[in-house]
Amino acid sequence: MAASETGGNTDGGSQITDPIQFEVVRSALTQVAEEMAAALRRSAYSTNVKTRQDFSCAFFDRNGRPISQAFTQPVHLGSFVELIPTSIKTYGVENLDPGDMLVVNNPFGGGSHLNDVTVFGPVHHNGELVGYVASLAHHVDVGGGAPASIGPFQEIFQEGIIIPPVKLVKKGEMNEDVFKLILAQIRSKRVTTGDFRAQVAANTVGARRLVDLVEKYGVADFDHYVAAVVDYTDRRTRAEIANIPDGVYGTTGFLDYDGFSDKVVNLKVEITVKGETVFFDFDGCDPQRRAPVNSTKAMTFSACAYALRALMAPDMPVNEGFYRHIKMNAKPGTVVHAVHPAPVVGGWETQVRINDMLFKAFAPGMPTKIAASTKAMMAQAGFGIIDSENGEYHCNYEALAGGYGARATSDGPDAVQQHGQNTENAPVEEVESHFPMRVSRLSLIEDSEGPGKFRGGLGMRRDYHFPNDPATFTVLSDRDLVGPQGIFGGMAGRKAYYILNPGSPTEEQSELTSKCVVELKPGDTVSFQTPGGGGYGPPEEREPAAVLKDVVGGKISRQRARDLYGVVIDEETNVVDESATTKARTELTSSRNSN
Amino acid sequence: MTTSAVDPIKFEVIRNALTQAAEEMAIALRRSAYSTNVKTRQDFSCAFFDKDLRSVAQAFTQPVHLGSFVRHVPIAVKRYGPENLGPGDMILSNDPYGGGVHLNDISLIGPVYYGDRLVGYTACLAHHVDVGGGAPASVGAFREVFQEGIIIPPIKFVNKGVLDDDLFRLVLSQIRSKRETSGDFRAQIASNRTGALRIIEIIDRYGIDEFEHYIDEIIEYTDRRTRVEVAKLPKGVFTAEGFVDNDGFTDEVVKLAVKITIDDDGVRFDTTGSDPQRRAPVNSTFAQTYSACAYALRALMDRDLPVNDGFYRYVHVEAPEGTVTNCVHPAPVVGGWETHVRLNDLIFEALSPAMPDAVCAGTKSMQCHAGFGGENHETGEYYCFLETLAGGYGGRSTSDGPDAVQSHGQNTENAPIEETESNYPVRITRYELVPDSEGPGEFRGGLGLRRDYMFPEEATFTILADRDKFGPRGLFDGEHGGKSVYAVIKDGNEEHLSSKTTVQLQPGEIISYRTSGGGGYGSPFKRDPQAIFEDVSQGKISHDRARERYGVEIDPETNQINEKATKELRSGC
Repeated sequence: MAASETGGNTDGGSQITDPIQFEVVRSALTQVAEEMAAALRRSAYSTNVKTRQDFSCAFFDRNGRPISQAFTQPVHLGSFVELIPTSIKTYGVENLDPGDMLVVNNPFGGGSHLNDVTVFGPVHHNGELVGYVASLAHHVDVGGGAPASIGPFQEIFQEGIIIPPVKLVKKGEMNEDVFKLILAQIRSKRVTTGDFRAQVAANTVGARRLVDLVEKYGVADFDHYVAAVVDYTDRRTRAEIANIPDGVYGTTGFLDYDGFSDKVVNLKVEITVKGETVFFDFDGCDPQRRAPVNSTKAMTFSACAYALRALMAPDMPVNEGFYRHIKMNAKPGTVVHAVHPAPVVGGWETQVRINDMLFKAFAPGMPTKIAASTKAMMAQAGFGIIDSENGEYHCNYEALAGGYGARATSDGPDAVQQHGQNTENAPVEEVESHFPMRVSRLSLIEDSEGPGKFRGGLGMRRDYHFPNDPATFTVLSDRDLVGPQGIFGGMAGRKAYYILNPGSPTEEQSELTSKCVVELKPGDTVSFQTPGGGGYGPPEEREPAAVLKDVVGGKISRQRARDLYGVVIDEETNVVDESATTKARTELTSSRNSN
Repeated sequence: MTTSAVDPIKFEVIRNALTQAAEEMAIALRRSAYSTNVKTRQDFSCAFFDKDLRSVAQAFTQPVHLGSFVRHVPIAVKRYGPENLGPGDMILSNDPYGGGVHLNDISLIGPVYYGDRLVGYTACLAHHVDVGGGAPASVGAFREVFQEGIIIPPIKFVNKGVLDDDLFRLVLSQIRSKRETSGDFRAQIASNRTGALRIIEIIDRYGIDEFEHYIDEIIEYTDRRTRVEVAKLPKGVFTAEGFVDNDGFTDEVVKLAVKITIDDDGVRFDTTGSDPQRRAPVNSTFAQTYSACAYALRALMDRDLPVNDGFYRYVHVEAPEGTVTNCVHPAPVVGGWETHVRLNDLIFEALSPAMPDAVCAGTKSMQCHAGFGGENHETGEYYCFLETLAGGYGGRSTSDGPDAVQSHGQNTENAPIEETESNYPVRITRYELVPDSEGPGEFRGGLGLRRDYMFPEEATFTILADRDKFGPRGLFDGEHGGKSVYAVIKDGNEEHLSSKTTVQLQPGEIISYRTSGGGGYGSPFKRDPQAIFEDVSQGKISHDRARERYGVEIDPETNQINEKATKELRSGC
């Protein structure tokens, strides 16, 4: 985290804080970030940024401390906390001029995986530094070993362009040579050029709004309220942590497959809550591998930040006053704190599995607040096709939804993103009009839920069909061994499947692994099937009416309703047969007890 | 043309001074570089171009690079825009689809000014030992250029004499061998500066007008002489077909075809009929193909002919786009020099019937890369190493092919074992000629060599080579040279590897290269028995082979030629 330097924000001192002014400024600061997000979204070219909204925007004070954020991607926002101050320090604040913007993605300097490229710049008012505005976009391709820059890579050098902090914009003008050099590594040049300019535009908008704010309130008041927002958040965070029962919450978990060997990736975490402090200890996680399973420190931090924030009051702001309370031990050289030259493209997979584990660890202490296991992976699908007419290299990237874990009082939603991943669906209409491919199927997967009193959400199936052109397709995902676990008697969801040419005669159909790159020929189809969420509570306690609704809705089969939930539904009348159900449930309970 | 007088002595002085400027660039580069590949193997080139981007003078460096400069330098400068350059600027470029070759070969080009007047450009190219990408040393069986390393369009690397820090850092971030490579980049800057200083000194002495006038003269002189040389060549249409043995992914050969037309209009090379490009390390860029043809033409000419625009303008190359001799984006290009040099062998083969005394039989005609890297456990640094291994040269009409040398436009030096072992965590456990690997002939091909690398720490090793299916061809009844073998040795067990592969090595494992022998020239049964005797005495050819392939019997006990037996053996044929 950024060190406080002289001349930085004070703690307010003896200045009076008007509560209404406080709220207005606090919301205005958030609004700066939100307008940045709107500008980015409206000027970006790629589906991944403009539609899936795989980007984030935030404002930092003159010491590089996070002050406000747009409602974007928590995974990114948490990683900013290390990236921004580290980058400023590396470049040297004395080397930055008004109108400059730095571009950076260095995973070992506070970044995440290479696709996540941050553009940020200082904001000046009357020549004085006010703070920094930052936007991060997941660029659909950054070069490297496969289109969309995802794949089972073994070293960082294979993954795409590595950008230390360098000036993308100099005194308001694009630094053409730097821009040209970055773009030269990238397949999707047209689209990515547009996305970079959108980031510059977003920062420009953010800077303007900030300057307006400072103009309105004056620097002294502005600084005062920024400090007050941080202090307020600090007080509330401490109170929220104090609300979590003291104790040590631990659990283990694993990633199913590393792309190369059959050794699972072992993960372990122990969270110690004491009074107003919380400490995340990752001792016992596997050493890093030459495989797409390594998280950077910033990515791991963002998992802890997300988990803690999710347990707190919804209206709490997120800024330095919150982030400073996240203390973490993640040993360098492990899969939760990879060091150079580890590959990092798979880091988000590990990060989100950790998130799941953090909730699982907390579950015994707060059973009503925690959901069962989710897909707990990004579930990334990328492809590249060269347009045979104009030679343009199209790249597409998306992360697919899956079943969410069931909760104490409700089912897990079907086909959603989870935890810090907040990206949107890429509509079939849009991708089909941009790329020479067809989404030949997009559906929920029947019977994929983790059965429970409250069931897990269904997984999702998306089939990518390439009728006319050869293509390169990448799966970067997980869950090919076991589905998401249930809790408190709930059962596991269906695991993930990745199938080439499903339904073809056996010679042509094949099961893919969760971490592979395949060369497709015209006519091939890849079926990406995400897992269902884990169940909560024993399935034989589920309301029969709810099971009936699932069966009538085509989500659960009649057979499964009987076998796993003990609910018998008459085939003709579609009505629950109460007595048969009672009988079936008695059998289920007794066979469960005897096992 | 010119109307003012040309003093023949001044002409020679200036011509040599310009060459010497390029030679001093080479010396500066060599003396300041860090990597073995540049400072010792001398895998770099330097040249001077006039203000109109015509090639004027070259250092005695790598013909493969120098020929490609003729394409790359003008394209890079025009892309950047000469109007955007000023004194003290230098542009960096390696873009294969902007006149470049493979990504490791990075050119630094600096305009030279006399006062504020542009007088020319110095250019130096260095083969950087790593440029990022899919494997250490950036060589490997890649599918697309995006996997191969950093692609550099022309950018202003040095701005008014000052290295652009952001660009330098951005380039180095992609590179594994950061310490060595930053040193090599700085050496390139020093090289261009040295060249500029020497050019300015020449102009100080003679004045700009004379300087430019004599450059025109040098080019015209070279043009006149080249025209005479071309006229001496036999007229006709000469063709040859050949192939690269495999592509690293499939076992399919990569077909190459060349047609050389020599008539009153000059010499034209045409590679139509060569295979379409592949997603595999077998594609040459146009610049690489052009440099093969330039080298071949030059090799057929008078020894003391200068090489500059006056010569290069006679090299006409037709290479269809989308083939392995003129690949298009985003084809991988790392294997381009392999294909390029195989083309050279074919050109000489095509011309052999008409010019039997001017050509040699098949050579290794591959670069034969050995690239490796890993974390040096002692220093913590990520090191990379690259070298290309020598092989047997083809026999000629009056002499054997030398053993273990580079071929054609490839002019790099040996990496001494002492240096390699002291700088990198590797041990060379064997370095020797391979007996019986030559192509038998009246004049035999040269022997291949064996080099074994033992790694005491984990390492990633890439073989990017060829000749594992077929040995180099003989000429005029000369026979094929031995093919290459690439192997990994684990606990004493040898396993053959592909000629285009990357492997992860565990401590103690060994990679062994046995490179191909050159093709023979003329029937082996005509070889002078005394020559065979010497070969056998030196352990280059075995007794059995001498008997079976050459019909020469050497008595192992007396160590003398058994004349009677030899006569018998040879009369039978």
